[in-house]
Amino acid sequence: MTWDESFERRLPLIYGVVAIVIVVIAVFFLPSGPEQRLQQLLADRQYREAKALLDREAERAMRTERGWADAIEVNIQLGKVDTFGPLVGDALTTWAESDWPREYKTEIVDALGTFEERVDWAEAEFDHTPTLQGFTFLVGAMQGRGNTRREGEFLQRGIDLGLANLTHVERLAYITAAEGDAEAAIRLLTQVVETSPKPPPQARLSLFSLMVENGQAVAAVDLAVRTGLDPNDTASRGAYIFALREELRDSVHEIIGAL
Amino acid sequence: MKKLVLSFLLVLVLTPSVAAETLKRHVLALYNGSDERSIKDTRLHLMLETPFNHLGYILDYREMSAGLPDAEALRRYAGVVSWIEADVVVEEDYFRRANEAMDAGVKWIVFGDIGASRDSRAHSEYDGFLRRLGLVDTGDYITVTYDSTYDVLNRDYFGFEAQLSDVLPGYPVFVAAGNGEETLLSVQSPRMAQSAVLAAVTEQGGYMASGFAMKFVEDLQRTLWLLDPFLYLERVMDKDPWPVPDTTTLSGRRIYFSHIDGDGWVNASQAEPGQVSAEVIQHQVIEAYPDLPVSVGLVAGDIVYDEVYAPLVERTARDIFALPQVEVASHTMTHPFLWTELVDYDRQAELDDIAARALAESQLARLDTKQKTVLGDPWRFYSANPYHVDEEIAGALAVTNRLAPAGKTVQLYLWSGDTSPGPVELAAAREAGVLNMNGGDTRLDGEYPSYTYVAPLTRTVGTERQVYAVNSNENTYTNLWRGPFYGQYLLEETWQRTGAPFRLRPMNLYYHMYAGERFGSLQALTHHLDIARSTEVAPVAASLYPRIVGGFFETRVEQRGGLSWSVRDYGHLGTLRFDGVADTTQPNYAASRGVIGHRYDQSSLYLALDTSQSTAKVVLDDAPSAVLSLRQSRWKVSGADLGQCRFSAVLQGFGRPELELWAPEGEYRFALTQAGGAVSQGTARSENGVLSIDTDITSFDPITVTVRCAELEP
Repeated sequence: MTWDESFERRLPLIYGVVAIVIVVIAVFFLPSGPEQRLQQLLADRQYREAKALLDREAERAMRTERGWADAIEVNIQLGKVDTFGPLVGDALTTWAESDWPREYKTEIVDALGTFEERVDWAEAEFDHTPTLQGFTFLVGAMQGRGNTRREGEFLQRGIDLGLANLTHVERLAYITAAEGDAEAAIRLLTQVVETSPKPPPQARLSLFSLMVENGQAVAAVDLAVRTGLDPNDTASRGAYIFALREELRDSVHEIIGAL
Repeated sequence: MKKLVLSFLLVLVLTPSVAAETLKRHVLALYNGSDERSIKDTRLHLMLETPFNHLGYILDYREMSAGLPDAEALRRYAGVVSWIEADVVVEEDYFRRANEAMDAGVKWIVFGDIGASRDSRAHSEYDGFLRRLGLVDTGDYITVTYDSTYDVLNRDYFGFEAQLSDVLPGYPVFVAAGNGEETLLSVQSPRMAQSAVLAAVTEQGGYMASGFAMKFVEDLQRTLWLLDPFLYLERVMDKDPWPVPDTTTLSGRRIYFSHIDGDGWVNASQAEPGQVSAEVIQHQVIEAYPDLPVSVGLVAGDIVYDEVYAPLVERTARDIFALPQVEVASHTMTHPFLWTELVDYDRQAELDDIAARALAESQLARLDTKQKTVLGDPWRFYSANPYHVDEEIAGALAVTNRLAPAGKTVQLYLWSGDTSPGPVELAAAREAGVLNMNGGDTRLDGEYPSYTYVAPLTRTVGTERQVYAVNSNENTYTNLWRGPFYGQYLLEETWQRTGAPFRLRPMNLYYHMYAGERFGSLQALTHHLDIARSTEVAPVAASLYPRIVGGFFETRVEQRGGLSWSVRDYGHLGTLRFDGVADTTQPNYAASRGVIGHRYDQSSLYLALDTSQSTAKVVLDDAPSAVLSLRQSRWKVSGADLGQCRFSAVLQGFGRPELELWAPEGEYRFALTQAGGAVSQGTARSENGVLSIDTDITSFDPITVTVRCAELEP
């Protein structure tokens, strides 16, 4: 018997094995009857029927990730807050690698969360996926709480991630200045004053004052002159005068030389 | 005998003789018209009017450039409050008049800038003005604040919704005048010799520096109070306990009401295929809760201008209006979205807007849907005819009245769209004999976590008043009806937070007819209806609320003695509230008139007034009373006759009466007589001083209740 003949004789058996494998795969990986039915009902917006199916055959209908997501969607469409809240909570654990449970959680927290719940979830989300929206919300929340240490941490992360604007840099500068880290504050304020098309007076004055107080009088005057002193800005003028009067007595020759 | 006469004379001399004095409730509110274009945009309206209202005060707005009223007019105010942020320089005469007013007992409260110029410091009147507020102006302003630290920080007043930050905004350097002031907040800095006072209170007024009362957190896009404005204003106004007209409570219970704007009446319902939204709302929301009243506002244009659906709207409107728990209301004729454009109406401008929108829509139609931007609202939903106030109000009322069953007419006109009617529209509604309401969008929840989002009672428009709805509708909870549609579940938090730790507002379930489209919105509605059903509330028709608010503004209080007042013109306002009295304090019913009950709740004493009378005499003392009086009732109680061993009154409301009386221990007989003469009798025992009368009677008509001690003959 040639190999071909032998193969032909075994062909029905091979077909049978392949068929069995396909069936096994289908049983384990394709949606079950209830899952398919759930998908169909959801597509047809037959939410009540879908809910009835879930009540009857939850385990089979929610056997896969898709089934879970469909079950949550059905409950959301029906406004069953008591049901979809815990379901999403369970999905966050069960399908921890997937994004959709997080998206549902975000929707629910945005719609129904207390302020504290919003902050807690925003922190968790920011750790997972930092976004501009999460960054600004958390910075604002920490500012509202008066928690400048945490606010400073988020600002620094936002700057590192490229999410922050110059207002955030300025704010971090004031926080670091209030904490006594003059060097960091000077660095941050310099960035604000040097790059902002119209630096805020408080930033220019704070930078000037910090530089003078930290032995950088000549550089302070140079920066102030270069970034434009406004002679009509009386409030600023007072601060400059204060700084000059208090700090520059010993440096006057240096400054004159610099100017 | 001689001793007796002497004792009598001594008592006469020592007894404080208080001449009848009308308590001043109006506060002059000065705003900067160049910075804040209309009253509804002012900081005073958005931030301070709510706490002032809560404390019983009425704000009268005045633009600062108009100057102060004359001395006599100024003295009629309980206080003057200004909140300006630069750009206003007041004249020397302003400070002179202010000083005279303060010396005459008018409290002066400054939020933000004083309004002084650089030259003001040279003038004695300015100096005197500041000294009366406990301040001296050094002329300095601190811009660099990284080395500023708090010197005095009274945590009773600060850290209310947001905490003060270590990073301070700039501040003017006012130092303490040593004029008996209490400094609530001050800062020190190596840049100044003395601490700068940022918040102070004196006997003559108060000062609150800019940037330290509240803060707009830009990253949150939310405003939060640093200061407790309720406590601060109460402290500055410094009034002994007095009967504050209260709009939250009726018959000892928190008021509940509900109203529907008729938008989306015939929208197809996803929740009940084959039905329109109005039918779903009728069956699943209104008819399912006959114990909870609702006022339904029809858009009359749905009948006048919509030829296709008019018959369906008419049929469903008749069905809904015929339900006994439904009050008939109007939600305009053409449904204006932009009332502000109708104040100085220009038909051609409206037609131009319609044309521009049509063009924009045709252009947008070619774009990919994701790129589409949402066009703003048109001026009106039905714009085939030019706008006219008569059609909009009287016309809408006439159309709606035709659909109402015998015995019912439109009671309430519900503003649409931007809810910013002009004085002509408000006057037209008043002249048509209906109450008006809507606007305000009050929320106090996780998304709007501040009392700054609790609107005041009304908006002043010329000489008219627009009454704000108590709570926001589902629109603001559902991203303007784009979903999630279950969003109005969050209303529960606003109900909780405006009910405790002090009762600031009633409970208002406010929604649109299109809420019947979705399961989610329906679930949110029934969730709140279930809360209202299971909570101790006094459910009323929505039109009663603006009537009560009207009573708030009209009520006049005269002090007759230390704990005695005469109260007039309260109209439908059924409750007076005393804050800061002991929980043993209660009315002396024998000496009072028009007071039918009392209840102590969350550190306030609520007195129930008999609104069938136009004046009341209130006398308080600490002695328990043997008179039967109202503790609380689900139904409104009026026409009451109180006495020892007897109580009778007329009750009207929704659901079961659920009546509780203060009554000495013992057995009582009661009888409830319905309009047709049917009598329901029973007996009940007073336990711990409270007599509960619980019956299965439900009636939409008034019933009479009589209670007697059991041992007395009937």
